[in-house]
Amino acid sequence: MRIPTKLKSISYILVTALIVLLSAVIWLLLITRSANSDLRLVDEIQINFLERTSLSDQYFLHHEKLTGICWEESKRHSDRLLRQARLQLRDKESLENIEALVRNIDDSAAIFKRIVATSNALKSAGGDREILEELNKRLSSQLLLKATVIRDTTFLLKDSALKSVQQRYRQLTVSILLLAASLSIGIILWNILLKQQVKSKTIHLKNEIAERLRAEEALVASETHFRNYYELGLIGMAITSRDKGWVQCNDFLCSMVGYSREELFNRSWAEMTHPDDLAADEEKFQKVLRGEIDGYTLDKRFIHKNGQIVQTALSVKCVRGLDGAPDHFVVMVQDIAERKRYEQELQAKNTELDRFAYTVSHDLKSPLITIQAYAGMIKKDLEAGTYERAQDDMKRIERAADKMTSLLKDLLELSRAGRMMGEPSPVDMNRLVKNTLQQLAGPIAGSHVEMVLQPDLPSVLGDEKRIAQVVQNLVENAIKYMGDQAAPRIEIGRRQEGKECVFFVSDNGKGIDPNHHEKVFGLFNKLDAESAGTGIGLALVKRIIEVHGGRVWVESEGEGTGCCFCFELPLVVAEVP
Amino acid sequence: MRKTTLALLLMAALSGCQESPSRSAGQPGTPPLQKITVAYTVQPQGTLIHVAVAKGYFIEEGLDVQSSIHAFGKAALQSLLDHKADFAAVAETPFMFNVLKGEKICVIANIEASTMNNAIVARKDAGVSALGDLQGKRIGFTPGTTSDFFLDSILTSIGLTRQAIQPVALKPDEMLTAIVGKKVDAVCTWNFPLTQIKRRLGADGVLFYDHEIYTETFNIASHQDFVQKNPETVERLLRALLKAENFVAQHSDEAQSIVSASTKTDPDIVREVWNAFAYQVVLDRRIIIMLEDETRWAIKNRLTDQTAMPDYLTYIYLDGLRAVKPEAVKIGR
Repeated sequence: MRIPTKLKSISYILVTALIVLLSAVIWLLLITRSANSDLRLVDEIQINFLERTSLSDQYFLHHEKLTGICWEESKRHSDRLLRQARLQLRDKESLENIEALVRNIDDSAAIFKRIVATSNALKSAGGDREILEELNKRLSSQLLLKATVIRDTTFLLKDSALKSVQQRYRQLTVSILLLAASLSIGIILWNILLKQQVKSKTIHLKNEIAERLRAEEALVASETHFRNYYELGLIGMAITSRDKGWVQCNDFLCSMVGYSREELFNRSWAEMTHPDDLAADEEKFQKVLRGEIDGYTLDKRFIHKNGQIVQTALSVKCVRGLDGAPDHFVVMVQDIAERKRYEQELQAKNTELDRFAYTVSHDLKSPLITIQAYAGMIKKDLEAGTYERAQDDMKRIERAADKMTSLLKDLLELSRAGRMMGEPSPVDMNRLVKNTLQQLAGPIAGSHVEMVLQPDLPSVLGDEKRIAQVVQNLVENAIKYMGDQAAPRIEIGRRQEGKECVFFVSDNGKGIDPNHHEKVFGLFNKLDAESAGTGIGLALVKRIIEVHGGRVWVESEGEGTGCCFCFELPLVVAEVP
Repeated sequence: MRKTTLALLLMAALSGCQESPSRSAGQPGTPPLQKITVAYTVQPQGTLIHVAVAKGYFIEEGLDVQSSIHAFGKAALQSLLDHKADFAAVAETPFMFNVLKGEKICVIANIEASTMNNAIVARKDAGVSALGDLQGKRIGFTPGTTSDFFLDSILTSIGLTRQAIQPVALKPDEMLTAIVGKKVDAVCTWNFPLTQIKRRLGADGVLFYDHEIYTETFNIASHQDFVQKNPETVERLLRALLKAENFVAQHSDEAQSIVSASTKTDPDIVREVWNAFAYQVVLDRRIIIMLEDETRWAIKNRLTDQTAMPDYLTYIYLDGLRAVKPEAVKIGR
């Protein structure tokens, strides 16, 4: 049986027992009261008897009329008491005793009357006095005998009444003890069961609390996970309202648009949206509000607090209430600036590739056409028997083939320059420049160029062979376009521009028109068509520098002013100023 | 041989009168019954003894009671005095006379009391219609018995003395014949003869009671030395009588039938007189009052040589009843 059921059963039993016992106690109190009343009545009967006995004695002594009258009055009082006793007393024995009392008191009254009559007769008696006196003695003896019986009967009555009172008190005591015992047992049982119940409930509560704690911990963990995801900084996240306000947002979103949370919450997303993108966003937002869609994605631009454009990819999901009406919106904002840049770069690459394909096809076609044309001429020369011309044409074909080979070789080099040869590593630029110049010692000496090399060039991070190609191409390019300079001079060094370290290779050669500064880095672009080379060298330089994350440019005020090719490369951390 | 057979048959018949006792002689594990002789009368005063015998209460208490039946208590007491009985049922008057004679006897319990058992029944044709008419008449009585004292008392109540009548000494069983035979004009006696005579005289008879002048007590008497030596026997006897008292109180009709059968009395007569008696085993002051009253009467009328009042408390054995029913002992309270 379960504890609450036990408690309920015990309560019912206890309450029933208490009601029964309480009723018994009340009933016993009443009958005890009644028994006490009986005892008082019996006492009164006994006192009345003693009073009458006393009056009898008084009469025998003095034979006074008044005493006889008092005796009669006492008898009437006795009759009243006995009538009351007949009504009041209940038990058979007491009623039998009352009846015995009635008989004997009546007898004694009759005897007393005869004694009084005899006594009165004695007052005027003559010769019969002796007989009258004897009669009085006999009657007195009988009165005494009746008195004895009455006395014994009143004692019996009193014994009975006393026993009744004692019995009632015993019963009352037992009932009260039972009541107390029942109460005690009930309280003890209640106590035990309540303790069990409390223990059981406590265990249950402990389990429940432990369960809740586990659930709360899980919830906290989940929330923490969510918060971590929310605040991770991978993506901007926010909750927006139906009126386009910001309700919640993570730090990443704040940093993305440059506003603090407070500033953001005082603005609508519409205010922050680039005007050109607002219409598209509004249209989809209204569709959601109308219930046509639950969410949408959109690339749109936010306006940063500092006015810059923030390229984002927006994902919006509507959370609806029980009535289906939109309640709030979960918004994910992804910064796609890099993606956009890649897209632009890709676009540029595609353009470059188009141009490269065109240039390559055009420049490669040129020697092929030459070869094709001179091959036809050789055929004609051979048919005509002009072998010398055929020899000459053959040489032209060989030169065109060489040029084509050279072009293909440079193209191959260019394509290789588009990717790193190995993992970036620190490159000592001083050593690299010296080694490169040693390799170019022949052309340098042949062109009588003065080489000036700045000391203490900083080390860079990159592919040493490629960077050596950069230096080699720039030095060869400077020698190639030295022109008629009487004192040709090439300087390799570095300069500091703010935080940036710029390497340079400058010369005092022909110089480059500022209009052609960009063009010189194009593939097959040669400012001087008659110059030697394939027109790939500077394109190669640019490709290598950009692959290393740097940039390259040319500085020249125009023809005859020389030029300075500058480039930046990532420095080894220790070298960063 | 014939005598032996008859004796066995008589014993069987006697034992057949008693109900099957819960305890009997010869049962294994029970002590043998104590044989005692109880002298009692065929009068209604001996009802408790008749019932105790009939219901087997004596046997239950380990007593094999030999009944010694007599016509009246005085004869029963004489049987005790003659050592033919151990106990006798007797009214206070014969007891008183024998105490005055110096007999070492005692009362162990009062077993009956009545104010209506004694009366004078007279013949109307003898000119008796009122008590006063008894003057000069022949009145039969049993000397030394309650009838002796009652006669004196009732005469006193009407201002007469013994000398004013012609007393005729009669035994109880002689009363009926005497009055019917007109040898006496009236008789002073007790039941059952009283009611039998009244019935016999019918309309010719007149009955004179005076329940305010006399109270009869009927008692169990024994020798003082016997009760001193046999207190347990006394207690057993009293316990049996107390059982009978209880039975009589609860089964009045059956008790009347027992009395009728054992006294060979007409059941109607038993029933008629039944309420005149109070059957209780007690020891109260009534017996002392009556003994003293009657002693004064005996001394005054020179019915005894004694002149001093005996201390009757010394003739009452209280310990027996006190041992079996203390609350029934009301002397000394």
